[in-house]
Amino acid sequence: MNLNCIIVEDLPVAAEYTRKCCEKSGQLEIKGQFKNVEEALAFLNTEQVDLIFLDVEMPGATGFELLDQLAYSPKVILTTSKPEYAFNAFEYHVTDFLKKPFTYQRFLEALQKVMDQHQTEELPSAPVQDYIFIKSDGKLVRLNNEDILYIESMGDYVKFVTNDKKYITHHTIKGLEEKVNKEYFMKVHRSYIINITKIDDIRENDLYIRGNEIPISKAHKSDVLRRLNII
Amino acid sequence: MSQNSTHNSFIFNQKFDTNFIFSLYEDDFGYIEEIFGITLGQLLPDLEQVKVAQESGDRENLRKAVHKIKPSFGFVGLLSSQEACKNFEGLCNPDTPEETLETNYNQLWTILLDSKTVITEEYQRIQEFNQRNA
Repeated sequence: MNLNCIIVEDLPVAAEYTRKCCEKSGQLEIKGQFKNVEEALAFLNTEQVDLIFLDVEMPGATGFELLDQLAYSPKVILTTSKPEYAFNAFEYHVTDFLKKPFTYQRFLEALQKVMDQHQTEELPSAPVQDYIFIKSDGKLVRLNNEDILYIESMGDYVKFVTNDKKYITHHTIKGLEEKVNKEYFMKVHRSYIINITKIDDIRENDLYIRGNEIPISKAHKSDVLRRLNII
Repeated sequence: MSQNSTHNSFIFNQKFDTNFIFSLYEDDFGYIEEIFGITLGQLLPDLEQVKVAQESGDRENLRKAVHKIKPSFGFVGLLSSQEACKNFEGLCNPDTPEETLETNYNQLWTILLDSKTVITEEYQRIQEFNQRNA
């Protein structure tokens, strides 16, 4: 299985080395190499890729700002020389974090994580249902789609909020995005999936569901508006 | 010039971490030459950027410029220079007294210029080595 990837890196020697690692792996097809976020976004607005090797500090916008502006969620391996970014990496659900300069062995380990995630997501899923089961408090709990207001990320956990209860379970928003019934649910922010039928109102970059304020990211706003029955 | 580790008959200057270089590129000397060449090509503009940032007095810009140049030294196995950059980056904040920052900057600048010289010399030696073994 070969994945498409791009390299976003302003340091020429690091970009060259990453390119060499990609080629050596035999598992990646490099679709482009970019020195800054602006160039990468111009490309990503027209073509989808499976994986981005992404530097953080670059002239102009940072790698995290690129992720904020992306309308979809490719896998991301951060390449940086500043380990302090590991916390942000966790927040952005990146697959791995390579500290420059990294060895080819370490590169392969990161790539394997991407491959594993990619294969899991490609497994055929059960037919779309009107309900889902979640593991919570040591049991499987059935939640009807129409009862769920929204789902909020809590790191490696997510919180399902219904009218009368909250359930916390071990999962990520990114993983759930593919599993929930898209007739009801959509991702509006990297930390939120909402039940589209439950929106009470939208004000600028926030929406409200039963008094709960939920941010809408720039990348998702147009999708949200398209899904609404605006007259 | 004192030298240490050997690998396939090439002896790196002792300032370079030979084991680290081979952990990245194995014994692909053609590629090592390419990496040294790319690094040198970028080093001049990056050094200039550090100097300009320092003269402007903007600590965040200075930190960014040093942050950018830092991994270049890692890619050629000059780990002590990479470490010096990392340490200086940590000083580029509003809490560091002006005098401390200036003293440390002067020390770093000397390290950066020495590093450039030693990379240039090593690049030439690698080129010669590759030509002999072509």
